Amino acid sequence: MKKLLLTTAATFLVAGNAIAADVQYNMRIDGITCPFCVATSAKALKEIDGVKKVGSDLEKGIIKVCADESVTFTDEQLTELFVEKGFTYRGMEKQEQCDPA
Amino acid sequence: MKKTMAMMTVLMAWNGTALAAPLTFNTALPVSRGEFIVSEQLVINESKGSRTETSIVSTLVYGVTPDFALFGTMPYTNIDTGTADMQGMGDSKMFGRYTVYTDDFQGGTFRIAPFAGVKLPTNQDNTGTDSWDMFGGLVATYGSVAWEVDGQISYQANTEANNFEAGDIARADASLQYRLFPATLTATTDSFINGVLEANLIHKDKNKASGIENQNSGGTTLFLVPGLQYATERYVLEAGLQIPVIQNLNGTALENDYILHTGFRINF
Repeated sequence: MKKLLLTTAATFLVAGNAIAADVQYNMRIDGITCPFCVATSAKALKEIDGVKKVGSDLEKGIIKVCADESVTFTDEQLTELFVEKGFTYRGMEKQEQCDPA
Repeated sequence: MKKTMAMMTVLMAWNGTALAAPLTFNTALPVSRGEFIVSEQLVINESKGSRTETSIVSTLVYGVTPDFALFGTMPYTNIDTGTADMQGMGDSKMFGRYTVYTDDFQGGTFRIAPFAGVKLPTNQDNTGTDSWDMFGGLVATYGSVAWEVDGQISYQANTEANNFEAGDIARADASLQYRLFPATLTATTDSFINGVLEANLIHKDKNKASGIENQNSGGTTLFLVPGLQYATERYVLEAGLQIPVIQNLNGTALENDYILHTGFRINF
């Protein structure tokens, strides 16, 4: 019984470590003024492996990307992505938890 | 007269972005690289109860780069004068728009974009003119989350075909789109309802037939256009009524009663 309990606990620990937590990147994008502006950028962001959800705060010009913590973004990558969409990337902040749905 | 009226109807329905853009002209807002936008607009142009022109104007927009977009419009038109009924493809337009100035800021943008293109003689059954006509202009947009203002000036130089030359067209346009609903944005806001108010000042030179000016053609008209837009992430539904408030036309040139615009735009 002791062996079984230890094995079970070890299994949960390994599994727990293997499931990465979600983090949120708040990207400051200038030039977005409407839901459509966000949608066209969200489409491109969702094509990145590990991105789970894209939201926005239009008044603040923020696009919120909830992604697996293994996903990393670079300023160069995001500058290029948003230029292609017709907008201007200014920077990002990482938040340890995604906003609730 | 029939030909130039058909030309005017197409001229008034060439907006083509799925952004919150004007109903009766273009915007300087961007089209993403590689993105297609399709627009369909029903335009009913009623003149003095004696002539009804109904067009379905299809527009395809392609973002070549974030600054350069190509537009193509193709109308299908029915003209009913009471004594004659003509139906078929109207004259198409192809044009490019290049953004020369962009100032993006938090929650807004200001852009200026010149454009130029050609009207092609693709009409059937007298639903357009048979001439190749050049046009160009400049459009500017100031957009924010709550409202957007667009302004445009343009000129179309018409040429002669089959001994007929429609008068050149100069116009100045302005549009205000104001978000009516929701009043306050939340994290789940994914659509807007905009109230729209536009003005179109349009001057047409006199037409010429066999080199002789038609004294009963051309003139200046000022339209006001109240309308509504429902803008979502993927599509825009819209409707507006172009009402002539001043018509200073030459001779007995046919006056407009109204022009109804209704349609949708969708992005791919």
